[in-house]
Amino acid sequence: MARRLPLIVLLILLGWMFWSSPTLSGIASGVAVFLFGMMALEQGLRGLTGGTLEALLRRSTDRLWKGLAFGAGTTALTQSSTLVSLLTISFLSSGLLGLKQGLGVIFGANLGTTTGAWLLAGPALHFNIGAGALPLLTFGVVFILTRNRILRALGWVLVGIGFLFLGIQWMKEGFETFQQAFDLTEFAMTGLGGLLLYTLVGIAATVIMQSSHATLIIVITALAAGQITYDNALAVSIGANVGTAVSTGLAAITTNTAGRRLAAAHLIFNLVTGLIALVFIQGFLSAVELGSSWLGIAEDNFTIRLALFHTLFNLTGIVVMVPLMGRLVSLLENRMPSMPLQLDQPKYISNNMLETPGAALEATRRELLRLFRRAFSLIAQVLNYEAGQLRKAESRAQLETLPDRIRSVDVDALYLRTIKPLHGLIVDFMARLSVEGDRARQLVLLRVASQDLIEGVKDAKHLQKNMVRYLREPDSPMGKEYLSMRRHLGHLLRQLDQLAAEGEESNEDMELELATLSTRVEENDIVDNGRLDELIRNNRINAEQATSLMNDNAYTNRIARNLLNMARAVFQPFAALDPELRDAIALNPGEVRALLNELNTANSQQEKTDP
Amino acid sequence: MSGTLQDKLRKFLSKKTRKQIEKQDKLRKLLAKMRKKQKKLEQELADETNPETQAELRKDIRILKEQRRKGLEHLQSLRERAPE
Repeated sequence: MARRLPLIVLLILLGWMFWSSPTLSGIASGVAVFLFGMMALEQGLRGLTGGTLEALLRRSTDRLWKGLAFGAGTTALTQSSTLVSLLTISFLSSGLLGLKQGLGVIFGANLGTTTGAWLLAGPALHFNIGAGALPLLTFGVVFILTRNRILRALGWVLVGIGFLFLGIQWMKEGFETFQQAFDLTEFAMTGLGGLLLYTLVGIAATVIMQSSHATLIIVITALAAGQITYDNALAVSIGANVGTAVSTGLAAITTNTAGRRLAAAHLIFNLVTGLIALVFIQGFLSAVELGSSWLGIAEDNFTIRLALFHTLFNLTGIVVMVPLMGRLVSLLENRMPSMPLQLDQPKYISNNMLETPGAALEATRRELLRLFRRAFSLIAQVLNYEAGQLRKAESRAQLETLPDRIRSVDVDALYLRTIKPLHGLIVDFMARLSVEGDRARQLVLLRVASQDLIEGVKDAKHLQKNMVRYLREPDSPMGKEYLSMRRHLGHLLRQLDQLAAEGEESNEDMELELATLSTRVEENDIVDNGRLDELIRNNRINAEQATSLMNDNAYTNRIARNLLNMARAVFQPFAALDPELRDAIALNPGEVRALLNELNTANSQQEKTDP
Repeated sequence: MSGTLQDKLRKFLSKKTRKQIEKQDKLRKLLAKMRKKQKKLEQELADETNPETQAELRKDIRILKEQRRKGLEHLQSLRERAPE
């Protein structure tokens, strides 16, 4: 109940406003329509530029200036720092972006958001923009009703702009009418008290409306109507800046540590910037005076002067904070360390990423890599390898070494504890991702890869029974065959683990290694290469043992093929996958068999000719 | 501007051609890596004394040669497919 109290108070206040004053209700409706316009605009821009923004962000991370320019440019263009902040948090959470690069984007976005004040204080107030709202709304709704995705997104953008225009017009008219009845400047406060109080008003308004643009438009229209003093308006704009960081912070609560660090950095940046603006307000006012005379801004044009002030103090914040970025990153990493994750906790995927499909798919791929490491550990245990020992094994002899005691592990219990919970989260996340085109193909690849991995683990369970039994008699003919299977799978696991760690380093190395491993699987198939027939013909194994060997050979091959298929989809980012390159050097099972026959014939001929 | 220069410029600007060139470059790099790996395996074979390991190395080299042969054929076909 206590948590809902502010909402109840707000609703009662609004109700009273609508009942008591048509003018106040006009202003409140203007704010509501403006906010709805912002939401519609954001939704439209997400559909229209989502992919482009993500592609741009991927390319803007190697240099700080690029990150700053991306943040400033995209925010100026989309007029939504929330969109850019959420995109950055998603990229950071999925591991596509480092904290320092993310900070660059956020600092840039803060500068970009100042363009909004210029637009609101300039064209929005001096033209009858309300007249343009209705055609925009009409065309927008027509577009929304079409089936084309791009047109629908464009429709939302038009509707968004239309509502923004309408909201501004209503607020403008509301304040103009209000001016005739009341004079709010009676509540104006001067001095430090006024500065602090109106800063707090700016913070509160932005946190409630979740939009610094909305706070700025109210203050700008009120300033234009003479309902707030210039000094108090400046303080509200400082508060709006701090308030927007509080909103991002609230949104980041549900993200992982990386996202929370970025939100904290955003808050620190905006607090420092706000503090600088408050402490040096006289200096900034002189700078605005100077800038206004350079730009030819009239002395009584307070709305444009406010926009200039807003830009100047944000720019100063960037100049002050950029040299301290390294320290800020270290501070955040020390103060907000990554918490050890529970087995059922995802590291990369989170619900707030569903809105940014590119980052979400990359996060899913990385989460599947984590799942592979767990599967690696489980299969290694089934084969009686210590995971660490297997990773270090370099020679055939090391792969053949058996532990002192052959153990059987409870695969079901291990699966339920270490694999199933994370797999379930990944599958659930993938099911809720809405993607089209190339991204839909990537999603299918990842879904199949996750299934391949699980099937590999389940086949390992079936393999365990005889594996453990025959590894206990390594010198028997059956023991030797299981030892050989263990070595082949161990080698494959170790190579895959190394490839997973190297990951994105070289596309060609990855393809070559996977092609080699794939050929090995064909080579080691004892049914195809004639080894099983040879064992039966030479009476080294009986019929019952032969069927066991045949089944377990099939399990081994299936595990290997499933792991290789999974590796092809997961070990590299989707953009780096090249099926044509892979096919160019791939040998099909028939070709491998022909080669092996050729080699066997050559070997037997050599044995005959050798004395 | 001469005709040849125009053709070259058109080729450079064509997305399809650029993609084709990119593919050829990737495959060429891969084949070079395979050649390097083959040499390394041949060196290992020369130093190896264990007959079993020798047989495995021979097998690996033969398979690698076959993969390279296929790759070279594919490269050739890519070159032939390249727009004039």
